[in-house]
Parts: sequence; C-alpha cells; structure tokens
Amino acid sequence: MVVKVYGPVTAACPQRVLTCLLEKDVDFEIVHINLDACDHKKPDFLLRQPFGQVPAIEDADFKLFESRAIIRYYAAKYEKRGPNLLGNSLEERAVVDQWLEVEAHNFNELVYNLVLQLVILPRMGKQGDSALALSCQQKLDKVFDVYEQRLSGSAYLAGDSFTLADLSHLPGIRYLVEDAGMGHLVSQRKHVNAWWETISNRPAWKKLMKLAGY
Amino acid sequence: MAAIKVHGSPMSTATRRVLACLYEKELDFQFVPINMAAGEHKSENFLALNPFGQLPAFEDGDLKLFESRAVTHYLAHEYADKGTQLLIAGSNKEAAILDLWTEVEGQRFNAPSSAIGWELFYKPFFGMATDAAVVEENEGLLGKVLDVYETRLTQSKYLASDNFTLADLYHLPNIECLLATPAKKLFESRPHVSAWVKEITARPAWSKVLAMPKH
Repeated sequence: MVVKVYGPVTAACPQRVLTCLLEKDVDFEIVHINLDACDHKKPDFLLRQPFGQVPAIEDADFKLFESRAIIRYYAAKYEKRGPNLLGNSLEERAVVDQWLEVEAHNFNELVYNLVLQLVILPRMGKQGDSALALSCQQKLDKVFDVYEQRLSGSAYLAGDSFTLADLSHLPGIRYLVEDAGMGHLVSQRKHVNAWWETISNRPAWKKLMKLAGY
Repeated sequence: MAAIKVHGSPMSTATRRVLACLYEKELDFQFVPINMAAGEHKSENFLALNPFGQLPAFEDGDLKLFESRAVTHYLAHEYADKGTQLLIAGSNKEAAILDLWTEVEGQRFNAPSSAIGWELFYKPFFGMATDAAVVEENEGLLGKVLDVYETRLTQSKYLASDNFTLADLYHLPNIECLLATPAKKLFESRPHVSAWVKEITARPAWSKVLAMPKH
C-alpha cells in the first residue's frame, strides 16, 4: 500500500514531505489538491487537515498533517533504511531538532512572506508589498550570515551528515533562488552556496524536481 | 553546581517554555539572567551560545543548545523517567500525534498569539502605541485556530492525548501573556478551550515559573 500525499507537487510544504519519502525510498501517490480552486478549504479536505492547508498524508489507516511532523515520523519509521536523517545519539538528535526549529521559526516565515509579496501575489494579479519584501530580505540576510558562520565549521547544519534539518530548507531555498530572484543571498556566501549545491544535487531532490516539472 | 544551565529572562516567553519543562521534570538547574535592556543578548559571549541573539540558550554538561522547542524535546527524552511524563510512549504513530500538535503550536498558534501579545502586553509595558489593525487581524487568525482546538478538545482531554504533554506545555507562555489582556476573550468564549486553559495554567510547575524573581 502506498502513502498518499495530498497537495500540489509544486507547493513547498508537500515538497518537504515528498523529498523525505524519496530519500527513504518509500512509495507514494500524490493526490493533487487544486489550491486555485480552493480544494483545500472544502469540507472533505478539512476532515484531513482542519486548518485547510497542504499537505496531509494517509498511510493505510494512519493519517497525519504538518509537514515537519510527517518527515519526523518517516525518518523514525524507516530509520534503518537509506540515509540516517535523524542523528544517532540523543545529543545528535537534539542538534538536528535545533536546526529544524531554526528553519521553522527563524527562516520559514521570512521566506514565505518574501515569496508571497514578490511571486505569488503578482501571479494572482495583485500588488505585492515591496516594503515588507525588503524588510524580509534584510532579516533573511542576517539569518544567512548565521548559516554561513555555522557552515564554515560543519558540512551540514547539524553536523557532518545530511539530516532533516538540511532537507527542510530545500523547498524554501528553491523558491528564493528560482522564483523570487533572491539567488544572491545564497551565491554570495561561500559556505551556504557550497551547502546548497550539495543538498540540491541529491538524487532524491532531483527526482522531485522532475516530478514537479521544473 | 547543576550541569543544566538556562541563559534567559524570566519575562521571555521562550525562556518560560524551557523553565516550565525543567520544573515539570523536577530537574535542578542554574538560571543565568540575561539583561536584554543592556543588550546582553547581542554580546559576543551570548552569541557564542545562540548565534541568533535570542533567548534562551541552554547547556547540559557539554551539550549546548538553543531553540526552546529543541531544548524541551531533548529534556523530555533525556529525563523521560523523571517528573511528569511529557511524551507519548509507544509506537512511532503515537509519537507522531504528539509531533503533529507541537507543530500546530509552532506553525499556527505561535505567530498570531505572539503578535497580539506584543501589541497588547509588551508595547504598553515599553510605552509604545498599540496597532489596533494588527490586533484585529491576528485575533481573527487566532480565533480560527482556536475553533480547531475547541473541536479537538471535545475528543481529547489535552491536545495530543488524554494526558498533559509537551504539546500543551508549549502553549503556556503565550496563553499567560494573553490572559493579561482583553484578548483572553478568545479563550473564554470557547468552553473546552477555556477549561483546558484553566487546567494547564493551574499546574504547580507553571506557578513556579511565574514565581521566579523578575530582574
């Protein structure tokens, strides 16, 4: 039985889940949710995800939402398969958690707002807030400075191996670099750039990019 | 000297999240106050502990961590057999339900509740003017989140299970902040949310956090 992932393959949070499943070689089926048609706000979908957001998953009779809870689940369930995305000792896992929290609380909202103002709203024919976009960019600059410092001492965010902490950043950074014209935030920083080149060249991420039609 | 150290402020919501966990687990710790007014959280010493210059920072022997939810997650696992059980024991599936509701706190509840707390609690405290439009927008957002909680709490005594866990604990600092403002009406108007708020804020460990001396 395959894992059903509800959401468009081009949206950031479903991509977070799909990348994890690809890394772990877990079979899945994407059930497309049309955000433009507001499928995600309809009663059927709200039963799966009461906040009306993507993704949600269904694995036999097990249902879950929140992309970061989902990737933690699959990283634990298939711990022995493929790359170890969690860390070994409790201390290593705590450091993975730390950088996952950094992604969720220091990074994500800035990227989300920047992409919303510069990409999504204009695509919908609406005016983006350029002052807000600039403010987000300036804050993101400072966050990337911290990442640069971290990655000068460590190949990946949580240590010497690729973990959920790095994986969680893939969709957001892709949006920044490919869609929002913010590639310089990455390319101007030697260690962040090297890290991005490495993680975005992983076979699982490249498979997802093909699936998404990029 | 305790191996566990918390560098923070008793008034900081994220610091309180860690303190609540330490008191629930009945762990000894040393509290190192950081003077934000004096800019201590941006000093080189502190940035070595938390490169984002945010409170809290945490040490347990050789382990250094920041991000309150990573710290509390670590404490709940490392000291699983001490004090209150804050995790859901059992399969990966059961653990995932706890993760789901801690993510809901982090991704859905935290932003609007923090925004309202900043406008209605902290800004007046610092002599700054409240932005009513921001309050209104975030009360709308938080209201929708609490509607989901209201339904959830008719099916489950606490958010992730029938026992108090990390998922409930994570909410305490922002709830406490909002209870001191007119925004408390958002909790009071929802019976199951209201009962849950009363229950979790009455926990002895939380009272100990509130009783810590303010520097």
